[in-house]
Amino acid sequence: MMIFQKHSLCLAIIFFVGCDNSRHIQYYRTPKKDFGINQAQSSEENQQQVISNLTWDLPKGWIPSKGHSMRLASFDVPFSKGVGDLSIVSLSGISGGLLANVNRWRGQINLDPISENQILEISEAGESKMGAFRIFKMVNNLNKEKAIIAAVLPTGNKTFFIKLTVSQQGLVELESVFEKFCSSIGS
Amino acid sequence: MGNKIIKLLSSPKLFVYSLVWLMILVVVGTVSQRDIGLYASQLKFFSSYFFSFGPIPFPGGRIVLALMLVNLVSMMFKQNLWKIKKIGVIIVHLGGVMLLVGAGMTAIFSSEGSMVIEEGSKSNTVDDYNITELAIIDISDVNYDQYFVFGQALFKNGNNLMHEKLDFDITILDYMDNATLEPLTSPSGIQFRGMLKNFILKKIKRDKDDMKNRPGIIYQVSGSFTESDGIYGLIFGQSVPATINIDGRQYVMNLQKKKTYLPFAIELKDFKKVMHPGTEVAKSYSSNINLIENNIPRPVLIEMNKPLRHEGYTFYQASFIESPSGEETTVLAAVKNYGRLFPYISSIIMSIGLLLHMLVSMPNLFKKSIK
Repeated sequence: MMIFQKHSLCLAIIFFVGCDNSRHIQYYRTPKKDFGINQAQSSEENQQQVISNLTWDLPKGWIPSKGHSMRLASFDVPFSKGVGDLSIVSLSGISGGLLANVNRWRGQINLDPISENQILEISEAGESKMGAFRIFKMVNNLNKEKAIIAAVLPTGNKTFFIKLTVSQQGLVELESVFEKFCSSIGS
Repeated sequence: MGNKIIKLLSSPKLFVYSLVWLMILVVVGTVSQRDIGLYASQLKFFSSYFFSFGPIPFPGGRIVLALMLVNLVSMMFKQNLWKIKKIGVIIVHLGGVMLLVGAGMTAIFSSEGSMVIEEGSKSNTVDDYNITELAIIDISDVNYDQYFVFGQALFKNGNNLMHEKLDFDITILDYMDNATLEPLTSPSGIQFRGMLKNFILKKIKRDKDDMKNRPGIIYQVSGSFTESDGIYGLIFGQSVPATINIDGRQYVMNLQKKKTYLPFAIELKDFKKVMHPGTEVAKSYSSNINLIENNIPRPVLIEMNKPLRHEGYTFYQASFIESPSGEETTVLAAVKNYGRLFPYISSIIMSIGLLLHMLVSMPNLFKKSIK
């Protein structure tokens, strides 16, 4: 009987200690996948990118990142104290309108909705290669960690939304780079 | 000495003490979830062999369960147990052993992950919720990509990762459960490559919500004897990953959640959701899918309380993503648990054992009451 007891001890130790499903080295082949390598160029210099027939001058230090599938592109945007998240989305037509979109963004940083006239009053105008755009800065003094600067660029049949979510300090530092980036957008 | 250990391990007292310790672990683990989150608590108290409070080490859930299993098995080999009047006790012990073996199988072999599928597309991969892996992908061939994948348990500082088909070695320098990128304020060293030329990867406090954690890794590529040798960094969610070129071959390096490739695919035909009237709160949602196996599609409806069970996997309707333009994406939770049936079967066995024990003991009970 003692021999069985010893064996049971050994088996239990092997069973509980010997396995770990994250200690793996695997090798396999899959069909070809697009890794977007062309977008992964060095970020040492400003460079021109072309995505979905849209071009822009990528500012120094911005890193392409993984975003939601509906985004045309996403970037990690560094500043002195952290990294902001920039997204570029294109939607058909006016896509919910300026009022709805700006108030949705305001809601994301716990700001109350405002009227269309107020929205236009607080916005600034800019000019890109594809036409005029408007820039909206949204800051909630109760939450210094999250602020939004966004641009809405309407074209013929599409509207482009460029949104940078970052802390208030980041917004101050990145504001001019953001405007320059929006101005560089063309087709 | 050996006999003394065997005697100790088969002592009923050990089982009782282990049970008490398990109860303490359950209380401590449950309370600590509030501060460190569910997954970290599970790892620290239940999936560990040992954990420490300050400098003092304590036995974790795995070691306690292993002791209980050894104890139960050892007790079953005691000669004085193998009597007909103890048939109920033997069966109860068997049920207990089965329960613990099931727990071990679940702990070691089960996996949980998610499948994210957009309407009209299909997927055959499950991304683990928690385990990370480093994928080195050779994309040089025209027809296929070659993956060399190293699991998270290998990310120990100084550990060398090698594969016979890889022309270079990887040495892990640092792995962070949660990291952030910060821009460099001074020029980087000449040994840094890729994004580490412009950024540093900084470890930050682990978030309670594990989905918010972005693991990061710093590693050294060596042995290629080219310009590609150097120190690289990756952060989870960096979709456009680091690349290196060595001897005319191009490699993509990616820090990703552990991928499991299924022998079948799931295609999302239609996603439906029903909202509570007058609100934006979902009442129910379902995925109308095609289960594609051997190129033969089979329509299946997965609803919130009606999962799909196939090939050992259970697919639950977990969540969904809806874009402002109306495109819908389903999120299925995929669970594989080899020990799923063990608790049910062992409970039945233990019930039968207890019943038999009661029946066998009854004559004695009656005798005592008559006296």
